[in-house]
Amino acid sequence: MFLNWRRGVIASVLIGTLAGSLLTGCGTGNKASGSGSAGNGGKVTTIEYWHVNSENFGGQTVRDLVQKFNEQHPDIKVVEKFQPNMYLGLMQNLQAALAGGHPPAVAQIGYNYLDYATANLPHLPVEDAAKTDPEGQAFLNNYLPNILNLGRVNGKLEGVPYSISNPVLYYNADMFKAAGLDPQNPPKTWAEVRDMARIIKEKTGNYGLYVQEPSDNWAQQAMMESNGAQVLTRTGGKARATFDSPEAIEAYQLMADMVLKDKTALHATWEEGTQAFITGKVGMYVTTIARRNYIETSSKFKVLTAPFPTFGNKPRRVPAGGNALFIFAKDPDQQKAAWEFIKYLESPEALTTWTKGTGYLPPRQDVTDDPRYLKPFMEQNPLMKPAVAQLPDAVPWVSFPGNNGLQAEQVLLDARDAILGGRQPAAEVLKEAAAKVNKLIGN
Amino acid sequence: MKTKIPWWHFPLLLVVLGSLLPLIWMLATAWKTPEQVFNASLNPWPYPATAANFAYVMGAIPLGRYILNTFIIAFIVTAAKLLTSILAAYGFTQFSFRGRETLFYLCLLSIFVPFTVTMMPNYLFMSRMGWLNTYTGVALPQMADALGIFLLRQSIRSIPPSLVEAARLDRVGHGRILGRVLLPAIKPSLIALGILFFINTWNEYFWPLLMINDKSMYTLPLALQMFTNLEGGTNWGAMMAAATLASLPPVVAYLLAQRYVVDTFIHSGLKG
Repeated sequence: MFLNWRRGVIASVLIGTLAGSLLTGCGTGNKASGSGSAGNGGKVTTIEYWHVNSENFGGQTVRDLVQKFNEQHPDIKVVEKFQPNMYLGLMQNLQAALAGGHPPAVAQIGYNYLDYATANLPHLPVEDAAKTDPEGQAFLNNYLPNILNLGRVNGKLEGVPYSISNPVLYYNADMFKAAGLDPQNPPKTWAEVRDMARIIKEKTGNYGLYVQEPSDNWAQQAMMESNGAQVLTRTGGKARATFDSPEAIEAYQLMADMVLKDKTALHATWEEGTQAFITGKVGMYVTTIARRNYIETSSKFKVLTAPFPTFGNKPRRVPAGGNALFIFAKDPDQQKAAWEFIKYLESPEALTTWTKGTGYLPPRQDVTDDPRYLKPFMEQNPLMKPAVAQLPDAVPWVSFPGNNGLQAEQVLLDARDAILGGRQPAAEVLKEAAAKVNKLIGN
Repeated sequence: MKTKIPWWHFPLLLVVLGSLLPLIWMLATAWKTPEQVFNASLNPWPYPATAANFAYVMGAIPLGRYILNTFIIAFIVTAAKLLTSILAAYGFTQFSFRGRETLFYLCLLSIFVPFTVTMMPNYLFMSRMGWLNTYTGVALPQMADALGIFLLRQSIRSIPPSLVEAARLDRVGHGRILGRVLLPAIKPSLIALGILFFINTWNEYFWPLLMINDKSMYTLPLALQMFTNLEGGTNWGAMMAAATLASLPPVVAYLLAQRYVVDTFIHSGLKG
């Protein structure tokens, strides 16, 4: 039966090698960002656009936008490339591509990687790109100043804010009714959140609140800074961790008290917390507006949203999530094409498509209320309204500077676990953590 | 008459159930609607079951193309690894030359060099050669494997030396000794090793992720990422449907050849 065993092995190996060398030919796809595509003389400039939009979150929208742009610009061809594992994955591939000498022309950089990208990756700041364009300044005037600030590092506009999300309070209207609360009157302050959480616990036996706990401190920053604290304070080019101020401690201790004393708030991972809210085990849930569609389609009860609660009369400060568009092209023609593409993505038409496809908030102020653009969509999706309303309260998402930035972030994550896990009071933990972070970022 | 089941089969049964549970969960979630995915009860059974996830996955991504890509890469790597392992193992057992043991242990040492160390040099090399987004780029750096050399060397050493000596006395050449005497004798090891290589390459994530940037060249593990998004939430139903489809081919391959796989591991444990 196995007489031809030897011949079989040799044949299969031969076939394998042969197939390998043949198929390489087919596989050699486009060297899109290659230098062979100079833009002058009626030639087409090909540029790459790197994004993190998976099939279930804007992937199709990116393809639609790119197709439309390519139709309108016969001299430019944009090739979109999805990068798995969100902004971290994109940064890793970007570093490899830069080392290999062929970076994409345009890429989405997550706000929490802004410092890192600016300091470590060669790029063309969009402020410089805008200067070469006579319409550049007029274009940038379409943004609220605090939104444009999201793309600035040390005062320089490095990337154009593109995708924007912020934390809102989702709540289970059915559970509110069951607890005797009025779904039309969600809590406005954290004191009210605490009270209502207690009522929900008493009347329904469910948890009152869950605040998202992924591997970042986004929502926690919103709490601390809305109470008047600063997570990081920059003075004269130097940054200091200041999340051990009395205001920061007070905000964190409130959360800890709800988890540990009142036992009305849940301390769990993001996936667990999301699941608990969707299955009707938690009444209120603080998370990003980008998850609106996901939460609405997954839950069987009526979901409503409210603005991120404030501390009394203190101003609300919500860090913006999402990304800014950066230019990494080196060739002048490609840089020009990249800027042209960014201007298209940030046009009212394209932003309307973008918000509809992803649920992000538009960075420009002239899109939301215009009946030609987002007005009909906003009326159909009232859950978006609180998030749009708090756009003027958007602040930059803190990322710790320097090579130990990621480690510093981890210190703050460990602090969160120590406080909410009940190992130590917030004051002690945050003091120790701030000292550690200050050492890590060079103070 | 009753056959007596040894008591230690019960803990084993628990281990089996424990390893099957994630698979069952994957299969079940693939047939659930988003609302059912987050059902509070631990009941894995989707009711009513929906095929929508599969339809969505098939419509959203060119799954056939990804299966083909994954298969081609896994096939090239498996064939190349087997070839290099066979030849090297033959050399290490049938020839005696100065420095043979040193060379062999150096070879083994490469098992302990973590992937993260070779990742960037390999990437830069492939990138300079213009092999990004190609099968060659993914396959070339993994065409030899010290583990295969080690296992085949063990297998060949377990063959009675008299067999090879008899062939030598008959003045049979190396090619025929390898093909007619040794390979038939170590066939189970070869098949098992082949399956191991195939499944490992099939499931490989990180290296293809670095090399492949073009969606049409994606392998299945990369394609699974197309249904997750940290900000927008993960489409678990679609992801599990894609995972189910992606894991079918290796499962079938394993079922077809499982006797050989199990054999080899039992034997290599005894012979050493």
